[in-house]
Amino acid sequence: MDGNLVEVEVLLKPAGAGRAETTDTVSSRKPNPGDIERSRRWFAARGLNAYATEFGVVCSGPKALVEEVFRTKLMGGCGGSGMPVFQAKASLTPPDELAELIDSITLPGRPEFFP
Amino acid sequence: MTAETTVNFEVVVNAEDGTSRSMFAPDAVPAIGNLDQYRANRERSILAARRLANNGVTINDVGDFSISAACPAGKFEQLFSTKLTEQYMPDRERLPENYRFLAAGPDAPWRVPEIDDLSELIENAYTQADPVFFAGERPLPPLWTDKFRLRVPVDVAQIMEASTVHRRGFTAKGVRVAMPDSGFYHHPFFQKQGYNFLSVTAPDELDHTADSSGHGTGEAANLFATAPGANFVGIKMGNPTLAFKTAVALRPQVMTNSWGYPLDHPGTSMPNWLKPLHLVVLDAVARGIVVCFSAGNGHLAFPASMPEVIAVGGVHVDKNLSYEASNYASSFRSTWFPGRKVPDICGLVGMQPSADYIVLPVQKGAALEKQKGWGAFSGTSAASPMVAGVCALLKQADPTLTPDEIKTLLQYTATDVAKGHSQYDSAGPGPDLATGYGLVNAARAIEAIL
Repeated sequence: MDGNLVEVEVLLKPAGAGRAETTDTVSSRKPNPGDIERSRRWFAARGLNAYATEFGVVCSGPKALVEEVFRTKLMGGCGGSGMPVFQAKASLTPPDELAELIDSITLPGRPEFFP
Repeated sequence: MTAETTVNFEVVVNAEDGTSRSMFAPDAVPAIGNLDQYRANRERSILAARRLANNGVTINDVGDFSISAACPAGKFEQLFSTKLTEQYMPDRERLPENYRFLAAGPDAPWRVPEIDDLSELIENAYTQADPVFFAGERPLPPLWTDKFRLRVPVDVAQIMEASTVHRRGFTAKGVRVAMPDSGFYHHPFFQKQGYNFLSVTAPDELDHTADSSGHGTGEAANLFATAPGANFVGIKMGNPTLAFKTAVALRPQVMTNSWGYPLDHPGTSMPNWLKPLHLVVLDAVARGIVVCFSAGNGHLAFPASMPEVIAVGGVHVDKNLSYEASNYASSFRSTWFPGRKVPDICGLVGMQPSADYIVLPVQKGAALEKQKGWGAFSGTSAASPMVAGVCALLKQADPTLTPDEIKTLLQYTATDVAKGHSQYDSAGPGPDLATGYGLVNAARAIEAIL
């Protein structure tokens, strides 16, 4: 992954009232597929790389663009093992147009390999 | 090299029937635009291949332009009335030590065989030299003698009791196994072994064949040690959630993951930024994919701490075949998933201080390289793919097995490990926190379902 890109995970609200705790209930946690596609297109239209997942959208883009879209300020991560490379000084704010669809917005961390 | 040494050769069918041109003609200039002129007559190629086969030649492929064949060197000499001698390529000092090949020298006699009218069908035949790999890696693991180590695939397959399963015809043939990791260099080892080794790039990554770490390339060899017939797909990973999702979209039956986040500590709960990953892993298992994760090398690792996955810890087997828990591997009780103990089961892992135990292929110049395209690294990253390979063997034997059934099968057929200690816990008779149910035993697991 390009070190200058910031990745953001956008988790959408479930279509029903589901809460995913196990493999039996995870399907009820899935959002409406139309909402996923609508969100993906919205982020892509603003210049972010946006990929649909079963549960939301993974976005990536330059730091300044991510800050603008999610109305936040980012700084280098704390550097702890497995922690996100970037951290937000303020919360990541959902875009108004998608606010009713979004459950959470987070910055993923780099995984640790176990060689 | 003796008369029994196998030589590979290409046979070119002659163009005298007028349907094609000879590639050896002085004015022949094959190019993309005129390639069709050089395609051999299919019926004559098949006829030539059959007659060669009747005369003791193994036909590997009847191609558009030539027939790929092989036979003992003595047979080739007899058939073509020639003499093969050892030949060297120019620039010998840049080639692997002892590199040479068998070919008819420029002054050697040569005649197309007249038996079975082959002289009417064959224009020429040339022995083929082994290719030289410019990356400089050895295609087979080196034998380093400074300490006891395991080599792939044989040592790992034998200790995991997979060799006997392979001999019974279970090699994971047709089972797709996906592995998100650092990259998948197409090392000559994989080609030499004839493995089905494919890789792709996750949407946020570049060049899946580049692996500057060496981690993904090396760990893939552990998968093939127990599942040599698997359809392997490596996914070069940037963001793990995206790589995992990319892997699931490939519809594998088994996934192996030699990575995680060392964050499942007492007094904490799962941070929000890991929840998307949690969901995609749950979703994979819900779809029936068997998902293995390394337990960690002293890490309290998530997603290994998820109850739905197979968390793979470490057992060390020394040169006297004495088994003990690896003191390099993790064992812990999850804080995030109450009641969950890690690991479930074990693969082979080295010991402190560096788990220098299994010799694995890496890209030349990779961070984990020790020498000539090989490294020795064997934390729980090594254990997950070898256990995933056994899961793939079980899926071949019974495609209807669920992830939960496979985990249970592995646990109840494992070899108990009663001595040693992981980084945090001691092993004892029966299931314990240090090794779970012990070392996976492929033969017993297969036996249980046949």
